[in-house]
Amino acid sequence: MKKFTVLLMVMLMTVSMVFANGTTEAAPAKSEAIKVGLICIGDENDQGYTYNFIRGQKEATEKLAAEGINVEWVTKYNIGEDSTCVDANIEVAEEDCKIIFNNSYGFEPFMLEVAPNYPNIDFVSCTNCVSSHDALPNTFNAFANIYEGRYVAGVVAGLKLNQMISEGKITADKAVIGYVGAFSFAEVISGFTSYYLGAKSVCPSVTMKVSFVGSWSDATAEADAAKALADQGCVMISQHSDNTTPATAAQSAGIFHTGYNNDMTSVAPNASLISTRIDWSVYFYEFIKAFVAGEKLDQDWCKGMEDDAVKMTELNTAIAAPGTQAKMDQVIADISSGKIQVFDTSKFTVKGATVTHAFARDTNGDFAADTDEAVFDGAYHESYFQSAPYFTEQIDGITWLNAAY
Amino acid sequence: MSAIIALIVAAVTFGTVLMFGTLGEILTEKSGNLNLGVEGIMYMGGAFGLAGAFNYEQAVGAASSSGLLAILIAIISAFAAGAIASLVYGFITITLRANQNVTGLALTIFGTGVGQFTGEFLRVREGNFVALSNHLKDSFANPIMPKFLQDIPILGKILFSHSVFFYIAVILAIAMHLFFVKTKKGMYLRAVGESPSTADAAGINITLYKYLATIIGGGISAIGGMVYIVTTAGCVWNHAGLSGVGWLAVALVIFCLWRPLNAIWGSVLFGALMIMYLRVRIPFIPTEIYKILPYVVTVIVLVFSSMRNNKEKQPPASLGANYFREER
Amino acid sequence: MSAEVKTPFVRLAKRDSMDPKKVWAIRLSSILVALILGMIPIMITGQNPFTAYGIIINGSLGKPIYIKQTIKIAIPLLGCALAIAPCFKMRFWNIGAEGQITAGAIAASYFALYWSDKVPSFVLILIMFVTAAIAGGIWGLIPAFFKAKWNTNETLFTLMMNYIIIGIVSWLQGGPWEGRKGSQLIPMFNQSARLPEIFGIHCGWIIVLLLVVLMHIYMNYTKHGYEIAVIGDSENTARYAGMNVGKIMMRTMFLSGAICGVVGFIVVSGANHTLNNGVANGVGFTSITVAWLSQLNAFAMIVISLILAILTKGANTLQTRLKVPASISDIVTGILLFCMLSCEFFINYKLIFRHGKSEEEASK
Repeated sequence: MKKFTVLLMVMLMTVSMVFANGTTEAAPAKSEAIKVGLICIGDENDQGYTYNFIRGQKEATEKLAAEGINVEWVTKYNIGEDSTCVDANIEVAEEDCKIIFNNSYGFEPFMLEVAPNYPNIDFVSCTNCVSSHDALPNTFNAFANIYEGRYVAGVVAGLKLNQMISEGKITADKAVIGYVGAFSFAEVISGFTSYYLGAKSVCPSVTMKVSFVGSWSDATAEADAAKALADQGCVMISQHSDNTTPATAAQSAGIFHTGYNNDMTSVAPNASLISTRIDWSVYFYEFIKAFVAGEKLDQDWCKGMEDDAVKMTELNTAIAAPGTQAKMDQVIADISSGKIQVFDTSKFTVKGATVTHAFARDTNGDFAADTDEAVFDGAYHESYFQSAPYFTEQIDGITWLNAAY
Repeated sequence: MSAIIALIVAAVTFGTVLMFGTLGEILTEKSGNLNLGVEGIMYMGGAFGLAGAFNYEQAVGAASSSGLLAILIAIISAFAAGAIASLVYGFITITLRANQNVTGLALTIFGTGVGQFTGEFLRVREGNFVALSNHLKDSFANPIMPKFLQDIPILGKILFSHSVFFYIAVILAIAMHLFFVKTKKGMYLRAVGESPSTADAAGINITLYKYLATIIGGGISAIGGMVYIVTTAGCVWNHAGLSGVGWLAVALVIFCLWRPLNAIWGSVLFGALMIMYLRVRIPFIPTEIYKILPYVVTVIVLVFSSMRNNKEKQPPASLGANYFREER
Repeated sequence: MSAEVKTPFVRLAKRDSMDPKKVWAIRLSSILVALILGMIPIMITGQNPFTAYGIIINGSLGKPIYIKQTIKIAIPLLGCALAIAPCFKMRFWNIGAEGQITAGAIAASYFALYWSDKVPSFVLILIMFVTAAIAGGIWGLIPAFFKAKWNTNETLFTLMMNYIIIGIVSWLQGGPWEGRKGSQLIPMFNQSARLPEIFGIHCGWIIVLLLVVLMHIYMNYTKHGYEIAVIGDSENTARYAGMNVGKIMMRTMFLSGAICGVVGFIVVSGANHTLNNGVANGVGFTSITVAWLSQLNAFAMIVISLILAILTKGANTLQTRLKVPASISDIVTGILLFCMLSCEFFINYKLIFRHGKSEEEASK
């Protein structure tokens, strides 16, 4: 019994040390650096969506450091689109962050629950659309014209399909693209439509099948969906989901792939042609810089290729069709100059008819767009009235395999 | 027809994961131990299997890493992780006689934590994502059977186009079946699960059998988690990728009526149900509902087998109950 | 410690009773052992474990807002543990709390989404409360019915029921209840469907604290509670005593499911303000361990659920400040559960060594 008592005493002492330590260690570390929070749905291991944000984070930090602005990041990983997101926002806010970036679409409603309690902190919801025009001055939205990059990726894919047709590997009517989408909503629809239009601009016979997996990040489902698309005759895979498994699946099915968020040629050297990505460092840099200067950016931020906010990764020249790079450079220049309108209404039809009218934004909260005419000057103007995409037309040539999501 | 073949082939990939999980749990449950920690065990297997292969490749360099050795290391690390976790479970339930359900759930919480911690820690340690080289990935995921077998019409695809893990799992299932019905030790093990007091009276070392079944079973289940990470998930740690897989394996044990041979086709069926929404569209049935089918089917099996009260198709009689010799 | 319990060197004997002080000393020391073991993974990450524990305490209790957050995590754990208690007392292994929470959450969400402009807030919340209880109760009743009728294994049945109902939520999310098309998100509830706050935390904490008292009375001072205890001791005894075991099982499971359903209501109405398929988020499983470690004692559950909530919340801060993966909380929780489960052995049994010397200090 004596031994036991001694042991207990030792343990109690240990615990009291713990408490003592805890109170002293809690003091904040650096003084001059500005603290910025980043809340992520995944982590770098996805080699895709969140990885792309972390890259943006690192690059922005370097750029800002070169200008004498020190940023100290507080990053939360693997946060769910539920009340844990509320907790994460509170957590980061209590760490004295001045700006908090939320990287996933589904974070916004939870972020908006927290934002009113911290009026001196700026909350940014990337890719969503409510924060920019709600009553709160401290909430922001941001996105980039990723549809431009997808259009270019589509051109690269179309050229490869042309090459396959001319080499007799497939016939023109077998030029089918398979697209792994997360959900059937505007950001994704806008993405695969622009991709398809890019491919179609060089390969007129191309068609596309879209499979929705019902999750932003579900490596298994994404792989299965890509496999299923390959089994259904698709010879080119692209994706709007967070992982690299569609690329892996394309490689093992012996077909080609273009990616999103990250250069996936390292994962699938024999399949992945190119990827497009948003360079978030542009936004992070601008936002933090403005904040330090005591200014605020527009509550709704959206930039595209001409500002380097949307980038193409290096072309996988070993497998891309000859002449791709030149064509790509030209298309990029034309998009930047406005010569190419990605959603040129003369280039696509919906149920056989040209689109003449579509609203861009929803103002009464019923989730149906009701204001701002998006079709004018012969094109559907995507991300013009708000940064978050709103293109939801189901154009001819694209088949939705499962619309349940 | 080709669509069905494609579905089967795809189902096998995920089915293999389930098969390991289920076979391990069958072995455990045959000894009367209901280990609800499979979910956690598979997480640990996934993380440690990947970590094993990753560390091996870092040590020898990507160029000189051998696929076969990587497979072996992954299997051994996963097995060891699962075995150690199950040893803890076994010690607490068998020797210390704690409640099996609660201990199993505790193991699920612990194992999920360890798996995610390990996966995340690797990333923090590397300062970047954790990935294996492409040729290792290929040796994990690519078919191993010779080309001419794969080229046999229909059967070639269904039987011979799978990764090495599928064949290991099938061999394991057959071996386990033979063990249960043909060997004395297998019979003893079943006796321990059915009626520990009788087995004890017959001089069978119950504690030893329970320990071995639990530990080996846990190790086998853990391999399933590793197989998921190195095949389906593309050799990348996936934070929530394995969530629910362990529970599905527990369901499958019931569906298979505790028979290893049933696990072969059962796991492929469950695998198919989980991915069917991407391939088969049934009008008026929302695709999300497909994913609950394995559980619904399991419930039906469970209910019917209890209604018919057929002794052959019941859980091992002492499942979930601890054995106290003193209270005999 | 070795597995050689059955060798003649040591023999086991059941203890009749133990000094309560000693019982608590053993339990307390098992928590300390767990905390010490929990230092190992922290040290692996290269951090000082004392600093880490300090941050866990600071991050969960250091500021009023942290305390609120911690309590928010503890509420569903406690509520659900209370629901589990009568089942486990009866030795009916209900591991379907996860699904019963979800069923309750679905019912509450339906009214929150579609009735919020039809009835006043107070009535709406009452309707949500009652329907959630009924839905959770029914979800718990189904396995109990089959158990009573055909002796269907309830552990496995309740387990399967979890995933069925969670799948239904996924369907609702992407189908009939979806907000912005394709988003897979159910809209946030209107203000009138949200639980009011008291002292800055949604008033679910009052509901569960009330439940603690009620459950304590129910289990210890009512005929129902007595019947449950008898069945738990021996089903046969109960039968000989003329109890309708099947009926009591179904009644108890309905009650258990109903309380879980209420927890589901509290979670959607008080914390999440919306419904998603992760609404139960493992609470149904963790709370089982809470209930068991509390020896099914309603008041002890408050302490245990708070300890687990402190670990969870504190580990979040630990991740924020030291980049230790937040899953450390699951590891430490797991170790804690293992140690506390193990220590019961030393309370219930004594080891008798070959030389006849009784060793009481079994905890070493």
